[in-house]
Amino acid sequence: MSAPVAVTRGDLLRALERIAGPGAVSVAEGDLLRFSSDYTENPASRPAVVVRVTLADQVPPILRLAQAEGTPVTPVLAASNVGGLCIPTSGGIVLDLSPMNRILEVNEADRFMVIEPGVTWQQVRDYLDARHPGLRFGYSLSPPDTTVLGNCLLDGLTNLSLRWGSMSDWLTALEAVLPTGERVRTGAWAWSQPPACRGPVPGLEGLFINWQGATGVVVKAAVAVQHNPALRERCFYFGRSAAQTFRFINAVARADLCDDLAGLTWPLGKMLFGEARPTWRDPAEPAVMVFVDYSSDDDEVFAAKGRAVERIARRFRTADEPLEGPVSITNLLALEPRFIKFADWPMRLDFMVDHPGGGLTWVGTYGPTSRWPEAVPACSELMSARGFPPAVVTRAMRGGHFGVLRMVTLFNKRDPAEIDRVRTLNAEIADLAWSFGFIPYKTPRWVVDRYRHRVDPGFAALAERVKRALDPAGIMNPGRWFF
Amino acid sequence: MPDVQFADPARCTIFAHMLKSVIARSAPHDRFATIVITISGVSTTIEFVGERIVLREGIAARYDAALESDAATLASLARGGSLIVAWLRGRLRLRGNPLRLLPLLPLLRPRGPDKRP
Repeated sequence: MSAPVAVTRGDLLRALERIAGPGAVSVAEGDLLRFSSDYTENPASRPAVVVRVTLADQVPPILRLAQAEGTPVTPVLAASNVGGLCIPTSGGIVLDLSPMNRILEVNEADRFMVIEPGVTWQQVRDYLDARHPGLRFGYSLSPPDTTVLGNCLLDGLTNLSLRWGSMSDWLTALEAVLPTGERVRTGAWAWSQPPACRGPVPGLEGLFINWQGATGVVVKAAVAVQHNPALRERCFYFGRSAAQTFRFINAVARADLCDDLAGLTWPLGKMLFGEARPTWRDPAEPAVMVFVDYSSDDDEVFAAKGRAVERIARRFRTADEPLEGPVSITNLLALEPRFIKFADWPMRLDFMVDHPGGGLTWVGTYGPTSRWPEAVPACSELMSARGFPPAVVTRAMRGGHFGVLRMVTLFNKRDPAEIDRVRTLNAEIADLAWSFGFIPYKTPRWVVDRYRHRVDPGFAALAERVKRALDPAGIMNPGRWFF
Repeated sequence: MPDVQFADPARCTIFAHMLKSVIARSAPHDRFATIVITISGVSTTIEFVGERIVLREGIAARYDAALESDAATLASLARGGSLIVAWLRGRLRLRGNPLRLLPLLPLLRPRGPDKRP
Protein backbone atom coordinates (compact mmCIF):
# COMPACT_ATOMS: atom_id res chain seq x y z
CA MET A 1 0.00 0.00 0.00
CA SER A 2 1.16 3.55 -0.67
CA ALA A 3 1.59 5.90 2.23
CA PRO A 4 -1.68 7.70 2.84
CA VAL A 5 -2.05 11.41 3.37
CA ALA A 6 -2.92 11.77 7.03
CA VAL A 7 -6.29 13.18 8.00
CA THR A 8 -5.90 12.45 11.63
CA ARG A 9 -6.18 15.92 13.04
CA GLY A 10 -9.11 16.00 15.34
CA ASP A 11 -10.25 19.40 14.17
CA LEU A 12 -10.51 18.24 10.55
CA LEU A 13 -12.49 15.16 11.50
CA ARG A 14 -14.76 17.30 13.65
CA ALA A 15 -15.25 19.73 10.77
CA LEU A 16 -16.25 16.85 8.50
CA GLU A 17 -18.65 15.62 11.17
CA ARG A 18 -20.22 19.06 11.43
CA ILE A 19 -20.90 19.00 7.67
CA ALA A 20 -21.99 15.41 7.16
CA GLY A 21 -23.17 14.42 10.63
CA PRO A 22 -21.34 12.44 13.33
CA GLY A 23 -22.40 9.02 12.07
CA ALA A 24 -21.27 9.81 8.53
CA VAL A 25 -17.54 10.11 9.21
CA SER A 26 -15.60 6.94 9.83
CA VAL A 27 -12.03 5.98 10.52
CA ALA A 28 -13.05 2.44 11.44
CA GLU A 29 -10.67 -0.19 10.12
CA GLY A 30 -13.43 -2.07 8.29
CA ASP A 31 -14.56 1.04 6.40
CA LEU A 32 -11.01 2.03 5.46
CA LEU A 33 -10.28 -1.48 4.23
CA ARG A 34 -13.47 -1.66 2.18
CA PHE A 35 -12.40 1.34 0.11
CA SER A 36 -8.73 0.33 -0.15
CA SER A 37 -9.03 -2.03 -3.10
CA ASP A 38 -11.37 -3.42 -5.74
CA TYR A 39 -11.70 -6.60 -7.81
CA THR A 40 -8.58 -5.84 -9.80
CA GLU A 41 -4.84 -6.39 -9.58
CA ASN A 42 -4.27 -2.66 -8.96
CA PRO A 43 -2.33 -2.02 -5.74
CA ALA A 44 -4.40 -1.29 -2.64
CA SER A 45 -4.16 2.05 -0.86
CA ARG A 46 -5.95 3.01 2.32
CA PRO A 47 -7.93 6.22 2.77
CA ALA A 48 -7.55 8.14 6.01
CA VAL A 49 -11.25 8.74 6.48
CA VAL A 50 -14.54 7.79 4.83
CA VAL A 51 -17.32 10.37 4.65
CA ARG A 52 -20.77 9.11 3.72
CA VAL A 53 -22.63 11.87 1.93
CA THR A 54 -26.42 11.93 1.97
CA LEU A 55 -27.15 15.39 0.53
CA ALA A 56 -25.74 17.36 -2.39
CA ASP A 57 -25.45 20.40 -0.12
CA GLN A 58 -22.84 18.59 1.96
CA VAL A 59 -20.43 18.28 -0.96
CA PRO A 60 -19.36 21.94 -1.47
CA PRO A 61 -18.24 22.56 2.14
CA ILE A 62 -16.40 19.23 2.21
CA LEU A 63 -14.49 20.10 -0.97
CA ARG A 64 -13.75 23.63 0.28
CA LEU A 65 -12.42 22.14 3.50
CA ALA A 66 -10.30 19.57 1.65
CA GLN A 67 -8.93 22.27 -0.61
CA ALA A 68 -7.99 24.48 2.31
CA GLU A 69 -6.22 21.55 3.97
CA GLY A 70 -4.71 20.17 0.73
CA THR A 71 -6.36 16.83 1.46
CA PRO A 72 -7.00 14.45 -1.45
CA VAL A 73 -10.63 13.49 -2.14
CA THR A 74 -11.68 10.35 -3.98
CA PRO A 75 -15.37 10.27 -4.94
CA VAL A 76 -16.65 6.70 -4.79
CA LEU A 77 -19.95 5.07 -5.77
CA ALA A 78 -20.03 1.26 -5.78
CA ALA A 79 -16.22 0.90 -5.80
CA SER A 80 -16.62 -1.84 -8.38
CA ASN A 81 -15.13 -0.46 -11.61
CA VAL A 82 -12.58 -2.77 -13.17
CA GLY A 83 -9.80 -0.22 -13.48
CA GLY A 84 -8.77 0.61 -9.95
CA LEU A 85 -10.19 4.09 -10.52
CA CYS A 86 -11.62 4.56 -7.02
CA ILE A 87 -8.63 3.32 -5.08
CA PRO A 88 -7.48 6.35 -3.04
CA THR A 89 -3.88 6.18 -4.17
CA SER A 90 -2.95 9.25 -2.12
CA GLY A 91 -5.06 8.40 0.90
CA GLY A 92 -7.10 11.33 2.21
CA ILE A 93 -10.89 11.43 2.13
CA VAL A 94 -13.08 8.87 0.43
CA LEU A 95 -16.32 10.61 -0.41
CA ASP A 96 -18.86 7.78 -0.39
CA LEU A 97 -21.74 9.05 -2.53
CA SER A 98 -23.74 5.81 -2.49
CA PRO A 99 -26.25 7.04 0.13
CA MET A 100 -27.35 9.73 -2.33
CA ASN A 101 -29.61 7.34 -4.16
CA ARG A 102 -32.86 9.05 -5.02
CA ILE A 103 -34.58 8.96 -8.38
CA LEU A 104 -35.74 12.56 -8.34
CA GLU A 105 -37.86 12.64 -11.47
CA VAL A 106 -38.95 10.51 -14.37
CA ASN A 107 -40.38 12.45 -17.29
CA GLU A 108 -42.36 9.98 -19.38
CA ALA A 109 -43.32 12.47 -22.08
CA ASP A 110 -39.77 13.66 -22.84
CA ARG A 111 -38.09 10.41 -21.77
CA PHE A 112 -35.47 11.37 -19.26
CA MET A 113 -34.93 10.85 -15.57
CA VAL A 114 -33.05 12.86 -12.97
CA ILE A 115 -31.01 10.76 -10.58
CA GLU A 116 -28.56 11.11 -7.75
CA PRO A 117 -25.15 9.42 -8.02
CA GLY A 118 -25.91 6.41 -5.83
CA VAL A 119 -28.89 5.16 -7.86
CA THR A 120 -28.33 1.54 -8.90
CA TRP A 121 -29.33 -0.42 -12.00
CA GLN A 122 -31.75 -2.58 -10.06
CA GLN A 123 -33.32 0.49 -8.50
CA VAL A 124 -34.01 1.99 -11.93
CA ARG A 125 -35.40 -1.28 -13.24
CA ASP A 126 -37.73 -1.71 -10.28
CA TYR A 127 -38.81 1.91 -10.37
CA LEU A 128 -39.62 1.94 -14.09
CA ASP A 129 -41.37 -1.44 -13.97
CA ALA A 130 -43.55 -0.30 -11.09
CA ARG A 131 -44.31 3.27 -12.12
CA HIS A 132 -43.43 3.72 -15.77
CA PRO A 133 -43.84 0.41 -17.61
CA GLY A 134 -43.92 2.30 -20.87
CA LEU A 135 -40.23 3.16 -20.41
CA ARG A 136 -37.08 1.09 -20.40
CA PHE A 137 -33.45 1.75 -19.61
CA GLY A 138 -30.15 0.26 -20.76
CA TYR A 139 -28.33 -1.97 -18.30
CA SER A 140 -24.66 -2.77 -18.05
CA LEU A 141 -23.19 -6.21 -17.42
CA SER A 142 -22.08 -5.04 -14.00
CA PRO A 143 -23.83 -6.28 -10.85
CA PRO A 144 -27.35 -4.87 -10.26
CA ASP A 145 -26.23 -3.08 -7.10
CA THR A 146 -23.66 -0.93 -8.90
CA THR A 147 -24.48 2.57 -10.06
CA VAL A 148 -25.87 4.10 -13.20
CA LEU A 149 -24.05 7.40 -12.90
CA GLY A 150 -20.65 5.75 -12.47
CA ASN A 151 -21.17 4.01 -15.79
CA CYS A 152 -22.40 7.22 -17.46
CA LEU A 153 -19.45 9.28 -16.29
CA LEU A 154 -16.95 6.58 -17.25
CA ASP A 155 -18.54 6.11 -20.70
CA GLY A 156 -19.54 2.51 -20.08
CA LEU A 157 -21.93 0.46 -22.16
CA THR A 158 -25.31 -1.17 -21.80
CA ASN A 159 -27.60 -3.57 -23.60
CA LEU A 160 -29.02 -0.66 -25.62
CA SER A 161 -25.70 0.88 -26.64
CA LEU A 162 -26.02 -0.48 -30.16
CA ARG A 163 -28.89 1.96 -30.71
CA TRP A 164 -28.08 4.84 -28.41
CA GLY A 165 -24.34 4.74 -27.85
CA SER A 166 -22.17 4.50 -24.76
CA MET A 167 -23.65 5.80 -21.53
CA SER A 168 -22.15 9.26 -21.70
CA ASP A 169 -24.30 9.77 -24.80
CA TRP A 170 -27.37 9.20 -22.62
CA LEU A 171 -26.55 12.11 -20.33
CA THR A 172 -28.55 15.20 -21.11
CA ALA A 173 -27.39 17.36 -18.19
CA LEU A 174 -25.25 17.31 -15.08
CA GLU A 175 -25.13 19.19 -11.83
CA ALA A 176 -21.62 19.14 -10.41
CA VAL A 177 -19.62 20.61 -7.58
CA LEU A 178 -16.22 21.93 -8.61
CA PRO A 179 -13.20 21.18 -6.42
CA THR A 180 -13.36 24.80 -5.27
CA GLY A 181 -16.92 24.32 -4.04
CA GLU A 182 -18.96 26.10 -6.74
CA ARG A 183 -21.98 24.33 -8.20
CA VAL A 184 -22.53 24.20 -11.94
CA ARG A 185 -25.23 22.88 -14.23
CA THR A 186 -24.58 21.84 -17.83
CA GLY A 187 -26.59 21.45 -21.00
CA ALA A 188 -29.94 23.09 -21.61
CA TRP A 189 -30.53 22.62 -17.86
CA ALA A 190 -28.16 25.53 -17.21
CA TRP A 191 -30.50 27.79 -19.16
CA SER A 192 -33.96 26.41 -18.66
CA GLN A 193 -36.11 23.42 -17.75
CA PRO A 194 -36.55 20.55 -18.43
CA PRO A 195 -33.10 18.92 -18.82
CA ALA A 196 -34.17 17.20 -22.01
CA CYS A 197 -31.13 17.91 -24.15
CA ARG A 198 -27.49 18.93 -23.98
CA GLY A 199 -27.51 21.50 -26.71
CA PRO A 200 -27.48 24.02 -28.11
CA VAL A 201 -24.94 25.29 -25.61
CA PRO A 202 -21.24 24.55 -25.12
CA GLY A 203 -20.82 20.98 -23.89
CA LEU A 204 -19.47 21.63 -20.42
CA GLU A 205 -20.55 18.16 -19.29
CA GLY A 206 -17.44 17.03 -21.13
CA LEU A 207 -15.45 18.48 -18.22
CA PHE A 208 -16.73 15.63 -16.07
CA ILE A 209 -17.17 12.71 -18.47
CA ASN A 210 -14.23 10.29 -18.46
CA TRP A 211 -12.26 12.53 -16.08
CA GLN A 212 -12.58 9.84 -13.42
CA GLY A 213 -13.59 12.26 -10.69
CA ALA A 214 -10.51 14.43 -11.20
CA THR A 215 -12.45 17.61 -11.98
CA GLY A 216 -15.31 17.61 -9.49
CA VAL A 217 -18.19 15.68 -8.00
CA VAL A 218 -21.38 15.14 -9.99
CA VAL A 219 -24.31 15.28 -7.58
CA LYS A 220 -27.22 15.02 -9.99
CA ALA A 221 -27.69 13.94 -13.59
CA ALA A 222 -30.41 13.86 -16.20
CA VAL A 223 -30.23 10.65 -18.21
CA ALA A 224 -32.30 9.55 -21.20
CA VAL A 225 -34.74 6.67 -20.83
CA GLN A 226 -36.29 4.93 -23.80
CA HIS A 227 -39.69 3.80 -25.00
CA ASN A 228 -40.42 0.23 -23.96
CA PRO A 229 -41.65 -1.74 -26.99
CA ALA A 230 -44.32 -4.38 -26.48
CA LEU A 231 -42.47 -7.13 -28.33
CA ARG A 232 -38.91 -8.14 -27.54
CA GLU A 233 -36.79 -11.12 -28.49
CA ARG A 234 -33.37 -12.35 -27.50
CA CYS A 235 -31.92 -15.17 -29.55
CA PHE A 236 -28.53 -16.77 -29.92
CA TYR A 237 -26.37 -17.80 -32.83
CA PHE A 238 -23.38 -20.09 -32.40
CA GLY A 239 -20.40 -19.66 -34.73
CA ARG A 240 -17.52 -22.08 -35.11
CA SER A 241 -15.13 -19.58 -36.63
CA ALA A 242 -14.44 -16.31 -34.84
CA ALA A 243 -13.57 -14.46 -38.02
CA GLN A 244 -16.76 -15.58 -39.78
CA THR A 245 -18.93 -14.85 -36.75
CA PHE A 246 -17.63 -11.31 -36.43
CA ARG A 247 -18.26 -10.63 -40.08
CA PHE A 248 -21.84 -11.76 -39.41
CA ILE A 249 -22.12 -9.46 -36.38
CA ASN A 250 -20.85 -6.51 -38.40
CA ALA A 251 -23.36 -7.18 -41.16
CA VAL A 252 -26.24 -7.33 -38.66
CA ALA A 253 -25.07 -4.13 -36.95
CA ARG A 254 -25.00 -2.34 -40.27
CA ALA A 255 -28.57 -3.46 -41.07
CA ASP A 256 -29.94 -1.34 -38.20
CA LEU A 257 -32.31 -4.04 -36.95
CA CYS A 258 -31.28 -4.74 -33.39
CA ASP A 259 -31.19 -3.25 -29.92
CA ASP A 260 -28.16 -5.24 -28.88
CA LEU A 261 -25.62 -7.42 -30.58
CA ALA A 262 -22.81 -9.09 -28.72
CA GLY A 263 -20.31 -11.88 -29.19
CA LEU A 264 -18.96 -13.91 -26.29
CA THR A 265 -16.14 -16.38 -26.81
CA TRP A 266 -16.49 -20.00 -25.69
CA PRO A 267 -14.82 -19.83 -22.24
CA LEU A 268 -17.53 -17.49 -20.98
CA GLY A 269 -20.18 -20.13 -21.72
CA LYS A 270 -18.23 -22.73 -19.78
CA MET A 271 -17.63 -20.33 -16.90
CA LEU A 272 -21.40 -19.84 -16.72
CA PHE A 273 -21.64 -23.59 -16.15
CA GLY A 274 -19.15 -23.53 -13.32
CA GLU A 275 -15.88 -24.34 -15.05
CA ALA A 276 -13.47 -21.97 -13.31
CA ARG A 277 -10.68 -21.93 -15.85
CA PRO A 278 -11.64 -23.47 -19.18
CA THR A 279 -8.67 -23.70 -21.51
CA TRP A 280 -9.67 -26.64 -23.72
CA ARG A 281 -12.07 -26.44 -26.64
CA ASP A 282 -13.25 -29.18 -28.97
CA PRO A 283 -12.54 -27.83 -32.48
CA ALA A 284 -16.14 -28.61 -33.43
CA GLU A 285 -17.51 -26.55 -30.57
CA PRO A 286 -18.90 -23.07 -31.15
CA ALA A 287 -16.10 -20.53 -30.81
CA VAL A 288 -18.41 -17.56 -30.35
CA MET A 289 -21.90 -17.23 -28.95
CA VAL A 290 -23.75 -14.28 -30.42
CA PHE A 291 -26.72 -12.75 -28.76
CA VAL A 292 -29.13 -10.71 -30.77
CA ASP A 293 -31.89 -8.54 -29.29
CA TYR A 294 -34.60 -6.86 -31.31
CA SER A 295 -37.92 -5.27 -30.49
CA SER A 296 -40.93 -3.49 -31.89
CA ASP A 297 -44.47 -2.49 -31.04
CA ASP A 298 -45.70 -3.83 -34.34
CA ASP A 299 -46.17 -7.58 -34.95
CA GLU A 300 -45.17 -7.42 -38.59
CA VAL A 301 -42.10 -5.26 -38.04
CA PHE A 302 -41.05 -7.52 -35.18
CA ALA A 303 -41.33 -10.70 -37.25
CA ALA A 304 -39.63 -9.03 -40.20
CA LYS A 305 -36.64 -8.09 -38.05
CA GLY A 306 -36.15 -11.72 -36.99
CA ARG A 307 -36.39 -12.88 -40.60
CA ALA A 308 -33.95 -10.20 -41.76
CA VAL A 309 -31.33 -11.26 -39.19
CA GLU A 310 -31.72 -14.86 -40.30
CA ARG A 311 -31.33 -13.88 -43.96
CA ILE A 312 -28.03 -12.23 -43.07
CA ALA A 313 -26.98 -15.35 -41.14
CA ARG A 314 -27.60 -17.47 -44.25
CA ARG A 315 -25.04 -15.41 -46.17
CA PHE A 316 -22.37 -16.43 -43.70
CA ARG A 317 -23.24 -20.11 -43.26
CA THR A 318 -21.10 -22.67 -45.00
CA ALA A 319 -20.63 -26.41 -44.55
CA ASP A 320 -17.23 -25.81 -42.96
CA GLU A 321 -18.29 -22.85 -40.89
CA PRO A 322 -21.81 -23.45 -39.64
CA LEU A 323 -23.50 -20.54 -37.95
CA GLU A 324 -26.15 -22.24 -35.94
CA GLY A 325 -29.31 -20.53 -34.80
CA PRO A 326 -31.40 -18.70 -34.06
CA VAL A 327 -32.07 -20.29 -30.68
CA SER A 328 -34.58 -18.28 -28.74
CA ILE A 329 -33.68 -17.56 -25.13
CA THR A 330 -37.04 -19.01 -24.10
CA ASN A 331 -36.23 -22.34 -25.77
CA LEU A 332 -32.68 -22.30 -24.47
CA LEU A 333 -33.93 -21.80 -20.91
CA ALA A 334 -36.14 -24.88 -21.24
CA LEU A 335 -33.05 -26.90 -22.13
CA GLU A 336 -30.63 -25.22 -19.73
CA PRO A 337 -32.07 -23.03 -16.97
CA ARG A 338 -28.67 -21.61 -16.08
CA PHE A 339 -28.96 -19.40 -19.16
CA ILE A 340 -31.31 -17.34 -16.97
CA LYS A 341 -28.25 -15.23 -16.22
CA PHE A 342 -28.31 -14.07 -19.83
CA ALA A 343 -32.08 -13.67 -19.95
CA ASP A 344 -32.91 -10.38 -18.33
CA TRP A 345 -31.39 -7.13 -17.17
CA PRO A 346 -29.73 -6.13 -14.95
CA MET A 347 -27.88 -9.40 -14.51
CA ARG A 348 -25.47 -10.64 -11.91
CA LEU A 349 -22.77 -12.69 -13.58
CA ASP A 350 -21.73 -14.22 -10.29
CA PHE A 351 -19.27 -16.59 -11.92
CA MET A 352 -17.15 -13.50 -12.60
CA VAL A 353 -17.22 -11.93 -9.17
CA ASP A 354 -18.03 -14.76 -6.74
CA HIS A 355 -15.28 -17.29 -7.40
CA PRO A 356 -12.70 -18.62 -4.95
CA GLY A 357 -9.80 -16.43 -6.14
CA GLY A 358 -12.00 -13.34 -6.13
CA GLY A 359 -9.96 -11.43 -8.73
CA LEU A 360 -11.49 -9.93 -11.85
CA THR A 361 -9.69 -7.76 -14.35
CA TRP A 362 -9.97 -6.89 -17.99
CA VAL A 363 -8.56 -4.89 -20.78
CA GLY A 364 -11.76 -3.30 -22.03
CA THR A 365 -11.38 -1.25 -25.18
CA TYR A 366 -13.35 0.69 -27.76
CA GLY A 367 -12.31 0.60 -31.37
CA PRO A 368 -13.17 -0.15 -34.98
CA THR A 369 -15.51 -3.13 -35.43
CA SER A 370 -13.95 -3.78 -38.83
CA ARG A 371 -10.88 -5.12 -36.97
CA TRP A 372 -12.80 -7.64 -34.81
CA PRO A 373 -12.31 -10.58 -37.22
CA GLU A 374 -8.53 -10.26 -36.76
CA ALA A 375 -8.35 -8.79 -33.27
CA VAL A 376 -10.50 -11.36 -31.44
CA PRO A 377 -8.54 -14.42 -32.64
CA ALA A 378 -5.22 -12.63 -32.00
CA CYS A 379 -6.13 -11.64 -28.42
CA SER A 380 -7.59 -15.09 -27.78
CA GLU A 381 -4.40 -16.77 -28.93
CA LEU A 382 -2.32 -14.54 -26.66
CA MET A 383 -4.45 -15.33 -23.62
CA SER A 384 -4.32 -19.07 -24.36
CA ALA A 385 -0.56 -18.93 -24.86
CA ARG A 386 -0.21 -17.39 -21.39
CA GLY A 387 -2.35 -20.12 -19.83
CA PHE A 388 -5.53 -18.08 -19.32
CA PRO A 389 -8.96 -18.81 -20.79
CA PRO A 390 -9.45 -16.66 -23.89
CA ALA A 391 -12.58 -14.96 -22.56
CA VAL A 392 -13.47 -12.11 -24.88
CA VAL A 393 -16.61 -9.97 -24.90
CA THR A 394 -17.53 -7.84 -27.88
CA ARG A 395 -20.43 -5.50 -28.38
CA ALA A 396 -21.42 -3.39 -31.35
CA MET A 397 -22.04 0.22 -30.31
CA ARG A 398 -24.01 3.10 -31.81
CA GLY A 399 -25.08 1.40 -34.99
CA GLY A 400 -21.80 -0.46 -35.23
CA HIS A 401 -19.75 2.73 -35.72
CA PHE A 402 -17.48 1.36 -33.04
CA GLY A 403 -17.40 -1.60 -30.75
CA VAL A 404 -16.19 -3.10 -27.52
CA LEU A 405 -13.33 -5.56 -27.37
CA ARG A 406 -12.88 -6.72 -23.80
CA MET A 407 -10.50 -9.45 -22.67
CA VAL A 408 -11.63 -10.72 -19.28
CA THR A 409 -9.41 -12.55 -16.79
CA LEU A 410 -10.38 -14.11 -13.49
CA PHE A 411 -7.52 -14.68 -11.09
CA ASN A 412 -6.55 -15.49 -7.55
CA LYS A 413 -6.06 -12.26 -5.62
CA ARG A 414 -4.22 -14.12 -2.87
CA ASP A 415 -1.49 -15.38 -5.17
CA PRO A 416 1.19 -12.69 -5.77
CA ALA A 417 2.78 -14.70 -8.58
CA GLU A 418 -0.53 -14.90 -10.39
CA ILE A 419 -1.10 -11.17 -9.92
CA ASP A 420 2.26 -10.55 -11.62
CA ARG A 421 1.28 -12.85 -14.48
CA VAL A 422 -2.02 -11.00 -14.84
CA ARG A 423 -0.27 -7.62 -14.96
CA THR A 424 2.08 -8.88 -17.67
CA LEU A 425 -0.81 -10.41 -19.60
CA ASN A 426 -2.89 -7.21 -19.45
CA ALA A 427 0.04 -5.15 -20.71
CA GLU A 428 0.56 -7.55 -23.62
CA ILE A 429 -3.14 -7.57 -24.43
CA ALA A 430 -3.33 -3.78 -24.33
CA ASP A 431 -0.39 -3.56 -26.76
CA LEU A 432 -2.05 -6.04 -29.10
CA ALA A 433 -5.48 -4.38 -28.93
CA TRP A 434 -3.83 -0.98 -29.46
CA SER A 435 -2.21 -2.31 -32.62
CA PHE A 436 -5.71 -2.95 -34.00
CA GLY A 437 -6.88 0.56 -33.02
CA PHE A 438 -8.64 -0.32 -29.76
CA ILE A 439 -8.18 2.11 -26.84
CA PRO A 440 -8.82 1.05 -23.23
CA TYR A 441 -11.91 2.61 -21.63
CA LYS A 442 -12.38 3.26 -17.90
CA THR A 443 -8.69 3.75 -18.37
CA PRO A 444 -6.47 2.55 -15.53
CA ARG A 445 -3.36 4.51 -14.66
CA TRP A 446 -1.03 1.77 -15.81
CA VAL A 447 -2.46 2.15 -19.33
CA VAL A 448 -1.91 5.93 -19.23
CA ASP A 449 1.69 5.43 -18.13
CA ARG A 450 2.28 2.82 -20.81
CA TYR A 451 1.00 4.94 -23.71
CA ARG A 452 1.75 8.46 -22.45
CA HIS A 453 4.49 8.91 -25.03
CA ARG A 454 2.08 8.09 -27.86
CA VAL A 455 -0.64 10.55 -26.84
CA ASP A 456 -0.88 13.76 -28.83
CA PRO A 457 1.17 16.30 -26.80
CA GLY A 458 -1.46 18.98 -27.39
CA PHE A 459 -4.13 16.73 -25.87
CA ALA A 460 -2.11 16.03 -22.75
CA ALA A 461 -1.17 19.70 -22.30
CA LEU A 462 -4.76 20.89 -22.68
CA ALA A 463 -6.01 18.22 -20.27
CA GLU A 464 -3.46 19.36 -17.71
CA ARG A 465 -4.49 23.03 -18.15
CA VAL A 466 -8.16 22.14 -17.69
CA LYS A 467 -7.32 20.10 -14.61
CA ARG A 468 -5.30 22.97 -13.08
CA ALA A 469 -8.04 25.48 -13.88
CA LEU A 470 -10.74 23.41 -12.19
CA ASP A 471 -8.70 21.88 -9.40
CA PRO A 472 -5.90 24.31 -8.56
CA ALA A 473 -4.99 22.49 -5.34
CA GLY A 474 -4.91 19.13 -7.13
CA ILE A 475 -7.08 17.42 -4.53
CA MET A 476 -9.49 15.48 -6.73
CA ASN A 477 -8.77 11.77 -7.15
CA PRO A 478 -5.00 12.15 -7.60
CA GLY A 479 -3.19 9.57 -9.69
CA ARG A 480 -5.63 9.48 -12.60
CA TRP A 481 -4.76 10.24 -16.21
CA PHE A 482 -1.75 12.55 -16.30
CA PHE A 483 -2.38 14.11 -12.92
CA MET B 1 -30.63 -37.58 -8.24
CA PRO B 2 -28.21 -39.65 -10.32
CA ASP B 3 -24.48 -39.36 -9.82
CA VAL B 4 -23.39 -37.62 -13.04
CA GLN B 5 -19.69 -37.05 -13.63
CA PHE B 6 -17.32 -35.96 -16.35
CA ALA B 7 -14.67 -38.53 -17.21
CA ASP B 8 -12.21 -35.65 -17.61
CA PRO B 9 -13.40 -32.35 -16.12
CA ALA B 10 -10.68 -30.48 -18.03
CA ARG B 11 -12.10 -31.63 -21.36
CA CYS B 12 -15.78 -30.78 -21.38
CA THR B 13 -17.59 -29.17 -24.25
CA ILE B 14 -20.25 -26.58 -23.58
CA PHE B 15 -22.84 -29.10 -24.79
CA ALA B 16 -21.50 -31.68 -22.31
CA HIS B 17 -22.08 -29.14 -19.55
CA MET B 18 -25.65 -28.68 -20.73
CA LEU B 19 -26.21 -32.45 -21.02
CA LYS B 20 -24.91 -32.98 -17.50
CA SER B 21 -27.43 -30.48 -16.20
CA VAL B 22 -30.27 -32.03 -18.22
CA ILE B 23 -29.38 -35.54 -17.04
CA ALA B 24 -29.19 -34.45 -13.43
CA ARG B 25 -32.66 -32.91 -13.71
CA SER B 26 -34.29 -35.61 -15.80
CA ALA B 27 -32.80 -38.72 -14.19
CA PRO B 28 -32.85 -40.99 -17.22
CA HIS B 29 -31.82 -44.51 -16.37
CA ASP B 30 -30.55 -47.56 -18.09
CA ARG B 31 -28.47 -49.79 -15.89
CA PHE B 32 -25.85 -50.49 -18.49
CA ALA B 33 -25.75 -48.66 -21.80
CA THR B 34 -23.51 -46.41 -23.82
CA ILE B 35 -25.16 -43.69 -25.79
CA VAL B 36 -23.68 -41.01 -28.01
CA ILE B 37 -25.29 -37.63 -28.38
CA THR B 38 -24.02 -35.33 -31.09
CA ILE B 39 -25.15 -31.71 -30.94
CA SER B 40 -24.15 -29.49 -33.83
CA GLY B 41 -21.23 -31.74 -34.65
CA VAL B 42 -19.94 -31.99 -31.07
CA SER B 43 -20.18 -35.53 -29.69
CA THR B 44 -20.50 -36.66 -26.10
CA THR B 45 -20.58 -40.28 -24.99
CA ILE B 46 -22.84 -41.02 -22.05
CA GLU B 47 -22.10 -44.21 -20.13
CA PHE B 48 -24.74 -45.53 -17.77
CA VAL B 49 -22.88 -47.76 -15.34
CA GLY B 50 -25.13 -48.90 -12.54
CA GLU B 51 -26.01 -45.79 -10.54
CA ARG B 52 -23.28 -43.71 -12.12
CA ILE B 53 -23.52 -41.74 -15.32
CA VAL B 54 -20.25 -40.70 -16.93
CA LEU B 55 -19.94 -38.13 -19.71
CA ARG B 56 -16.96 -38.42 -21.98
CA GLU B 57 -15.89 -36.14 -24.80
CA GLY B 58 -16.08 -37.72 -28.29
CA ILE B 59 -17.58 -40.92 -29.68
CA ALA B 60 -16.92 -44.22 -27.93
CA ALA B 61 -15.62 -47.05 -30.09
CA ARG B 62 -18.70 -49.12 -29.18
CA TYR B 63 -22.07 -47.70 -28.31
CA ASP B 64 -25.64 -48.93 -28.12
CA ALA B 65 -27.50 -45.99 -29.56
CA ALA B 66 -26.88 -42.54 -30.94
CA LEU B 67 -28.81 -39.35 -31.38
CA GLU B 68 -27.73 -36.44 -33.53
CA SER B 69 -29.31 -33.03 -33.76
CA ASP B 70 -28.55 -29.34 -33.40
CA ALA B 71 -28.90 -26.98 -30.47
CA ALA B 72 -31.84 -25.09 -31.96
CA THR B 73 -33.85 -28.29 -32.51
CA LEU B 74 -33.08 -29.67 -29.06
CA ALA B 75 -34.01 -26.36 -27.44
CA SER B 76 -37.29 -26.34 -29.34
CA LEU B 77 -38.01 -29.97 -28.34
CA ALA B 78 -37.34 -29.04 -24.73
CA ARG B 79 -40.23 -26.59 -24.98
CA GLY B 80 -42.59 -29.20 -26.33
CA GLY B 81 -41.74 -29.30 -30.04
CA SER B 82 -42.70 -32.49 -31.87
CA LEU B 83 -40.13 -35.28 -31.89
CA ILE B 84 -41.75 -36.90 -34.87
CA VAL B 85 -41.76 -33.72 -36.92
CA ALA B 86 -38.10 -33.06 -36.07
CA TRP B 87 -37.25 -36.63 -37.07
CA LEU B 88 -39.26 -36.47 -40.31
CA ARG B 89 -37.53 -33.22 -41.24
CA GLY B 90 -34.14 -34.75 -40.68
CA ARG B 91 -33.37 -32.43 -37.77
CA LEU B 92 -33.12 -35.38 -35.41
CA ARG B 93 -31.27 -38.54 -36.41
CA LEU B 94 -31.38 -41.74 -34.38
CA ARG B 95 -29.23 -44.83 -34.75
CA GLY B 96 -28.81 -48.12 -32.90
CA ASN B 97 -30.99 -50.29 -30.73
CA PRO B 98 -34.38 -48.55 -30.40
CA LEU B 99 -34.91 -49.94 -26.91
CA ARG B 100 -31.65 -48.43 -25.77
CA LEU B 101 -32.83 -45.08 -27.05
CA LEU B 102 -35.65 -45.03 -24.54
CA PRO B 103 -33.51 -43.54 -21.75
CA LEU B 104 -32.91 -40.59 -24.03
CA LEU B 105 -36.54 -39.56 -24.02
CA PRO B 106 -36.32 -37.64 -20.73
CA LEU B 107 -33.32 -35.80 -22.16
CA LEU B 108 -35.53 -34.45 -24.89
CA ARG B 109 -38.22 -33.36 -22.46
CA PRO B 110 -36.15 -32.22 -19.49
CA ARG B 111 -37.84 -31.21 -16.32
CA GLY B 112 -37.32 -27.63 -15.26
CA PRO B 113 -35.16 -26.89 -12.26
CA ASP B 114 -36.67 -27.46 -8.85
CA LYS B 115 -35.96 -23.87 -7.96
CA ARG B 116 -35.18 -21.14 -10.45
CA PRO B 117 -31.85 -19.52 -9.72
